[in-house]
Amino acid sequence: MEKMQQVVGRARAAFRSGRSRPLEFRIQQLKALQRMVQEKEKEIMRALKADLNKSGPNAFTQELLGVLGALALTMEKLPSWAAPHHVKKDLLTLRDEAYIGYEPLGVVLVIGAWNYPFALVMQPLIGAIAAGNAVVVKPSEVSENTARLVAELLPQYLDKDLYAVVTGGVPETTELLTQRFDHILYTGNSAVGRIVMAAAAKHLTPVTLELGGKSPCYIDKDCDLAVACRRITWGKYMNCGQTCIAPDYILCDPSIQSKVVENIKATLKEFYGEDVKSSPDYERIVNQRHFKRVKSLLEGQKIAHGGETDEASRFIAPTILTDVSPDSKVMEEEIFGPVLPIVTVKSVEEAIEFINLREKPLALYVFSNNKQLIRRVIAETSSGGVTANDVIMHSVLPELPFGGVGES
Amino acid sequence: NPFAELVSHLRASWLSGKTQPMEYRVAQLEALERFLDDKKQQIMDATASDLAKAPFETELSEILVCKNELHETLNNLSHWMKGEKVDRILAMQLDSAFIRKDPYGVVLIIAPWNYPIQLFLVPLIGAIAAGNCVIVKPSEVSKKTERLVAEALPSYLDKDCFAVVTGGVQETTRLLENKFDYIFFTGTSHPPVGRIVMTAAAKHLTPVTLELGGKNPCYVSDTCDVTNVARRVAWGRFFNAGQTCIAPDYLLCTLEMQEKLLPALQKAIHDFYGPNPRESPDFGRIVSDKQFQRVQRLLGSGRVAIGGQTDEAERYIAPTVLVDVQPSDPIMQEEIFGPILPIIIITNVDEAIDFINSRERPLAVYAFSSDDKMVNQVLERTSSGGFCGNDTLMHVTLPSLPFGGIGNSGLGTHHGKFSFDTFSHPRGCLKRGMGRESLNAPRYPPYSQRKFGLIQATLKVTRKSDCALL
Repeated sequence: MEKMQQVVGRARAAFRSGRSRPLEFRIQQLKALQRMVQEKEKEIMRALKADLNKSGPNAFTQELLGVLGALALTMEKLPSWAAPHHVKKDLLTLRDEAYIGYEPLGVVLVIGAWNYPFALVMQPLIGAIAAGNAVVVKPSEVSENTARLVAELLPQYLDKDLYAVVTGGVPETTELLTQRFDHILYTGNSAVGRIVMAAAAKHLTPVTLELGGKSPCYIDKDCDLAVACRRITWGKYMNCGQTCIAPDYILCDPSIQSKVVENIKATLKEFYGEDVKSSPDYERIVNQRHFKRVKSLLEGQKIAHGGETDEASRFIAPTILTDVSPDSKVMEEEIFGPVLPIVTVKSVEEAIEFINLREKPLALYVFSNNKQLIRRVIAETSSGGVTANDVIMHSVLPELPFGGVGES
Repeated sequence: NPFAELVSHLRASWLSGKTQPMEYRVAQLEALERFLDDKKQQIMDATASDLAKAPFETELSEILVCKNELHETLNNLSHWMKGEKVDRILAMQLDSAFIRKDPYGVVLIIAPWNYPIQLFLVPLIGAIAAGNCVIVKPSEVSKKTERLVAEALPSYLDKDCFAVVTGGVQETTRLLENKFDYIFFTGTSHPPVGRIVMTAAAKHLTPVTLELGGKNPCYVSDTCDVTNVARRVAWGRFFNAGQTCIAPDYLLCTLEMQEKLLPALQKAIHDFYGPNPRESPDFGRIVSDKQFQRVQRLLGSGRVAIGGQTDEAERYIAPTVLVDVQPSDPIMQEEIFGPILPIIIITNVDEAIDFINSRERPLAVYAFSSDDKMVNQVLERTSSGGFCGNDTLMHVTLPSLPFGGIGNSGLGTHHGKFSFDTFSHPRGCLKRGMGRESLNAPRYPPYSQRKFGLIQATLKVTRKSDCALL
């Protein structure tokens, strides 16, 4: 597969030329990306609809709004981000100049995921370009329409040698990973995350791994259940549950379990109408393999709501499971689908212990009117990030670092 | 697995929350300072035995440096632990958004033999300050220091949360089979132990910091104060008998400059160590027979212009300068890590920069010139962990500068606050209220252009206060 070597070699030679270093150049490339998103909006939306049945303002909000925001923010802030940072000196160095310079790393590899196929390639790309690097982008082959579009569009707008797109599946990615990069950013699952890091280790390449896990959502008895459930429903079922920071499962006292179910049911009707399948706002599972995987998680479970599936259209109805056993299959892996298990716990201590027995998740959610309780749950657990009294939203604030810890 | 129980015991301690309170961390850090004070003489004796380190060098590089880090950390710990509040967008003005600095859990620190106290203690300070439990694996090559640390350190620290493990390659390999929450490794990039550590870490998705090394180039331009340059370079090269990861590894200069530098270097060596450095109490020895033989072999490259004497029984290698060295010579293929300074002739700064850039990125780049522009040229056109203009080693004495490598010379940084941050997971937190649900309304299905218009309107308003969405 000489092609990979050539692509990376070209990117490295282009980086060595030094042209990606001046801020003016970087901003010019970012402006071109901005034009691309604006001019090719229709094509991008078409690809998203084909891949995940995402459409309309929903698709725009999920995939394009954040990207446009990141572009605007980055272009505005780049001069201050890239400026040298002068540091405190001591007696010996009082007369010297001491500062931290921010330099590009070289050739960065961005491996995207299929669930937000445009955003998850664009966001890291924006950061890598802003920092002055050359970039090789490998969009997920699972969201094949978006991958194809990204491969077509980027060369039309960006410096062809500095920024390249490579498409393909496992064999192509494995080959790509044998090449030497100066940073690899991978978004996907933990199993492949290990493979990426092991490949990176051969070259001592630093990695950023955006993985996932089971993000717990603890609902305290003392909270506004209607509001909590509406917010949870929104975060859980958006993109048909295929969101790395979706609330994966609920932990709550058995006494409120049925109320939680009732509130979510009511909200679902509000959001998607009587017939979810015909709602233009409800997405589909990305492919047959994931459809079968998610469907199998329903086996042997108490379905309090939903459960309908249609293989032809990869439709799985918004589903709630109650009295779920911690040892069941649905509690073993990240669900990544519109299935919401409820596991009952008798106290917040039990909830914290439950969470800490498991791998550190990407996100942690807690709903309560009691500020002390919230503080306690946060302090006694570990997770990538946290939102209290809502879901998803911590990832929306660019001033907060987004990432996982441990397995996530 | 011989270490599984220990690791799991430490993990249980961490989960118990014992290391969270600031008072606890402060107590452990203060105990570390007591260790340095109580055991000062033993530390001097051990490093003298292992490396023939002069008491002056030990006080400076093993004790003072550590105490500075301790004080810097203790002075700032409460501020660092608070985390950071961040700017919020308009729609989140009533919410609370902040970055918590959470400990990772159980940290493994693997230390090398050349600064056997500093190179485990400084990261240990950061790991403790950040609230972690720690296993320290000192180097088996610096035997006396290893024994001192294994015997004395545990009695100063909480045994439930901190442990010292000793052993060689076998033990370290078994240790690395366990799941750690962070691994901090300082060592050589050749043989590729850094890669081995990262590969082991990859099995558990454990983040790592690797402080490695390489060949640190030292460019000397034709316009400089030769006497000063010679003294500063000699100091950096021959400190600890050259066994310093950031020592200037080789010199790049013109033939004219070489002719001026040689007598200046000769004089500097004489001033520092006397007519016979072997008799100087201030010049160290190579740590082991294996290292001695390795370094001795490198003397075959080029021609000895200064020094060159060796004594195997003492593991003594004289402060040496080699000339007529070719880029293909053995001494230019590996990090020297000994008291030998080869000089490579170049004709101008561009050639020097090209030479540097044709090799792996080093831990440090040094450039000497009275012309600021020339120093800046080298800085801007090369890439390295750190940089020092017109001196050697000094950039790492400032805890406000991040210390670390890039590419083959390493991954990650530490010193000062960078240590604390290295061992902390930055956790983004957003606390909202249950009210103001109407503000959320536009985000819910059923989606409509009107709702989207509202979201976009919010976006337009908030762009100035720099946020993207909703």
